[in-house]
Amino acid sequence: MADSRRYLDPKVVDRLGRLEVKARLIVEGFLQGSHRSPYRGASVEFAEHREYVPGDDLRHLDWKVYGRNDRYYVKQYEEETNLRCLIALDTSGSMRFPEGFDTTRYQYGTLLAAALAHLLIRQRDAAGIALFDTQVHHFVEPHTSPAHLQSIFRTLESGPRPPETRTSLLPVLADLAERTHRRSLIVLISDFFAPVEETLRGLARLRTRKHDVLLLQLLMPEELTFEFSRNTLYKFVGLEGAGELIVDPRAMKGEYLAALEQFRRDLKRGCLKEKIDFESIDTSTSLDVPLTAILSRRARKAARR
Amino acid sequence: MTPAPLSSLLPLGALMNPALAGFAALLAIPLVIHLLNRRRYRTVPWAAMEFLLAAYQKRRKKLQVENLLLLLLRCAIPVILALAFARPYFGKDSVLAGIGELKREVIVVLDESYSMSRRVGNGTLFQAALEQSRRLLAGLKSEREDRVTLLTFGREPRLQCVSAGFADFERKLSALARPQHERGDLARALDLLLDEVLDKQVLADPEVWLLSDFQALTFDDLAAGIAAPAADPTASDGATADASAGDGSLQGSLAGSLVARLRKLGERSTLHLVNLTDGALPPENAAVTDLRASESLAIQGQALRLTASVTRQGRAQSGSGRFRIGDLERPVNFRYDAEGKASVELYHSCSTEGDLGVEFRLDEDELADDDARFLRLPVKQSLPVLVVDGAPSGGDPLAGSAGGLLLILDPLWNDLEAADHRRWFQPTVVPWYDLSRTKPDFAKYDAVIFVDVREIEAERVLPELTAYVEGGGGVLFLLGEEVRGETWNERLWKGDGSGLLPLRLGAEPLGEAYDPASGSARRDAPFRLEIADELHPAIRTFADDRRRLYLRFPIFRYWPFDPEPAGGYALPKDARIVLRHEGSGAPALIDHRVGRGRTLWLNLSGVDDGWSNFARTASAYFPLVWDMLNFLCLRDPGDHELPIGGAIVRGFPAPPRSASITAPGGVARTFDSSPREAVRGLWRLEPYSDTRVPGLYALDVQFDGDELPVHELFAVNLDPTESDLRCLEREAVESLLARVKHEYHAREIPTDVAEQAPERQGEIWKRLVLALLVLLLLETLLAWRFGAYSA
Repeated sequence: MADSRRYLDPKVVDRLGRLEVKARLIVEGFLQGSHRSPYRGASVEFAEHREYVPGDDLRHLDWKVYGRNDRYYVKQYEEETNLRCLIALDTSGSMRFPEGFDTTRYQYGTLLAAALAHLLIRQRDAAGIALFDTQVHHFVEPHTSPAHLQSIFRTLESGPRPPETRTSLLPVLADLAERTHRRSLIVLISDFFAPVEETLRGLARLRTRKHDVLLLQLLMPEELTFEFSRNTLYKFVGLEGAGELIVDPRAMKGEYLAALEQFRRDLKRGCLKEKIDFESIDTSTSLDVPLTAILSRRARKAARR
Repeated sequence: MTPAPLSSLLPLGALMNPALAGFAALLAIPLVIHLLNRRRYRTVPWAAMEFLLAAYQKRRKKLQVENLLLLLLRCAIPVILALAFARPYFGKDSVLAGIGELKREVIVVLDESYSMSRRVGNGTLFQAALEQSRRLLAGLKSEREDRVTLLTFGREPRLQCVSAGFADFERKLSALARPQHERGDLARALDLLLDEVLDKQVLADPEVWLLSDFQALTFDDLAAGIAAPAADPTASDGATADASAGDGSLQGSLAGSLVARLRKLGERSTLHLVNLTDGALPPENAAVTDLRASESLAIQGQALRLTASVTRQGRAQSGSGRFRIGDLERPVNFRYDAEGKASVELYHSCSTEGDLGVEFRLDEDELADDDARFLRLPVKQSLPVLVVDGAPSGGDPLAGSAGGLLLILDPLWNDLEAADHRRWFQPTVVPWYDLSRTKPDFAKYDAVIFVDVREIEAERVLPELTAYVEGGGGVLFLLGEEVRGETWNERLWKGDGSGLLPLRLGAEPLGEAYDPASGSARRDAPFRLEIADELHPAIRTFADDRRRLYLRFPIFRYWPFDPEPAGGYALPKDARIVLRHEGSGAPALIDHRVGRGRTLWLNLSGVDDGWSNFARTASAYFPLVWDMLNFLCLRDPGDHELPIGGAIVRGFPAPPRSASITAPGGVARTFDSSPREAVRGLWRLEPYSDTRVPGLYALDVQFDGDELPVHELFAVNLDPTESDLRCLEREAVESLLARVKHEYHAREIPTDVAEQAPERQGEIWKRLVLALLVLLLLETLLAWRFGAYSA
């Protein structure tokens, strides 16, 4: 069982086969490390018994069953579906970065989205998926059916768009706002490399529709550290047709990191203002970080009810 | 490699190793690397491009400046490295002189002539010069790598040390106990300095310090040389005249060459002239300029006159000194004439046969070196002469052709009552045909005279005669009517000049003999003689302008020497014409050196009145015969009168058992190796050249067997011209050397100049190395700083 946690490493998971398998392994690995089961819901309608597995909350052990047949069972409850979650994944050219390496930003985002969808549907929550660049080009309505999960996986496996495909968040967010009628948790997975004002304006529309919005900004370690091998010039070719630049990275590092940090700060400040959760994720970190962020958010939401 | 002549080449400075400066081209390496790097990059697709572009826009200008700065730094590193190896330095005239290190290259040129022995105060000028040299040395610093060159000069310049350290210089100075007994030759010293030191050595802006008494005689011609160009339209500009004289041609005046050399020196160095006298005359100085005897050799019992010539500077009216003749000492007093000259005479009759040493010494004055002079005088009992009579008349030699000659040589010939009288010449007469009958022993005679001899027998006489001459003997040939020219040519003349006869005789005598009885037309237009070589000792008497008139006796007939078909006479290299015929220039008296001996050929009959009035002209006949015979008997007088440094060279017919030379002061030196084989019949000793002190040198040679030991004296004298102590004062020096770049110092070197030498140039390689290290450090820091710039 201990091996399950290694599937939280995106590099390990990425080497596996089907996305469905990947999502399942990620979720199991994630759940194995928790002391308290995420299945605990607000509903108290009993559903069935399940054999105890490490990590299950001991409070849900059915001691009577234990007294009868000397085995550990936990009680499971039929929870109400109280969460609709739409996962929107950016498929623009910048998500192909870093092209040619083990795990691109898009792959990381796909794993994250798949794991999240798997986890939500397993919890009887409704999960849907939207893929976008300058517009939403794939959309799967949230649903609680396990069979729906296959539909989500197929959509995710349609792959990223060509490198020159740009990102345009304002129309995309407006479109999502139009498409999502019921109050939902909308998880946006992207690098958000677009004008901050435009992004915030789009988010504001979602918030106007009372949607709960979570921004998961995926940043690659290269982008965060800007470390390159010494004594070599680099020709940076901008994805999404952003131009080219030949430069010694060492000479640009400081200014670049400052600009990036300023961008993140502005985006985060704008999100706070709109009461939007913002999580910046280093894609070299394990997948449980964003999953925890999402689930803790779900728990908070359930508690409020 | 001949280094580039130094600061004169470049106004900014020059390089010690110019070839290495080419490595500065290595600066291309960083440029190439830079350009190549611009073409070599890795391509990276990049998502966060807008932040990178924003950063670039913000940093672009700064980046360009940083890149340029780094590029310049990297280019400067190989350039500075190459420069450091090329060792640049900056001359005093350079605008960059201030950054040069103060390394000094001092060249001391020290006058070592004997005039520097002049006493000044408690010491001599030479000691003052040494003291000034040491003051210069004290102003130098070894840690600065200052170097010193020492050049001393008397007659010969001597490079004591070149660009040496202090210890070497001090050692060389200490070894200079006193000046040489030589005249100073500044021009040769400057030549050596320019050619061997400044041309061949790499010296950074040398300072040349000329320490001398600046004798006027050195520059006398200089003054004339400066005046001379006015007469020469091509030399109206002094510079032109000087330059032409300085272009290696030493044929010009001393003036021109000296100015040219000094100017060249001034251009290539900082020239300091230290005049140790500054023109001050000594109160009194007298010099013995000459010492000679009335005859070149002395005959036992015959009085001869010894004459010492004295010249004084100062106001003294009289002087005193002493002759030392052998062990005999004779004090003399004398008076100077209006020009300050005196001729001191002493008559002396020598009593002992052999070499006699004569010395004349003045009472000591400010300059002691020129107070004495020496003479070697050979003394003989008499001079045996063999007279070969070409036309003997019975048994009475006086009646033969040589009769008149015999009476000239020995007026008391055959006078039994005067048998005890001392004679100069001791003639022996032999008929010419008797020579061939017995093997003649010429060696017994100091000279041989052939008087109008028909021929010389080829089998016995000629080989003996040739051996006699080659061994050092002297022979006088008087050619008259009896001579068979064709036979003489055949036996005595050789095409290569090695025969006794220097030129072929004509087919027959020229002219018509005068017959007093019948008269002759030739009497109205006779041939006459004129002097061709007035300094030749064989006509010593006639060197005087008045006495040369005695030689103008009429000549009617003579033996001509064959001229060349194209004109002129092809004399052997060891022959010279002493007398010639007026007008035609045909030789009349020829001196021909053969081996170590000599032959004199007079183409007149000395006995036939019909040929000329020679025998009847007593004023010509008597002195000319005596001069010629004295010249032949003395053999080689120059061998025993030597200048300072002259070599004593002697050979003997028998192998020496031991030989030694006793120098003045009694220091004897034995010859380590005796000659092992004879060369041309002579056993030669190793030449002895250690004659640096004037005086009498005695050579003593011992032989095995019956050969008598040899005791010979050699007189070594200094050049008296150096005794002229008139020295130039500052104005004269400045005026004469107006075109020469120099600094003048009177008597001593100013302390600040000696110790600081404000205008000096130096090398900067150490500073370049330091700069290189700083640049390397700076490059590393900047590259790190620019490359890892943190916000």
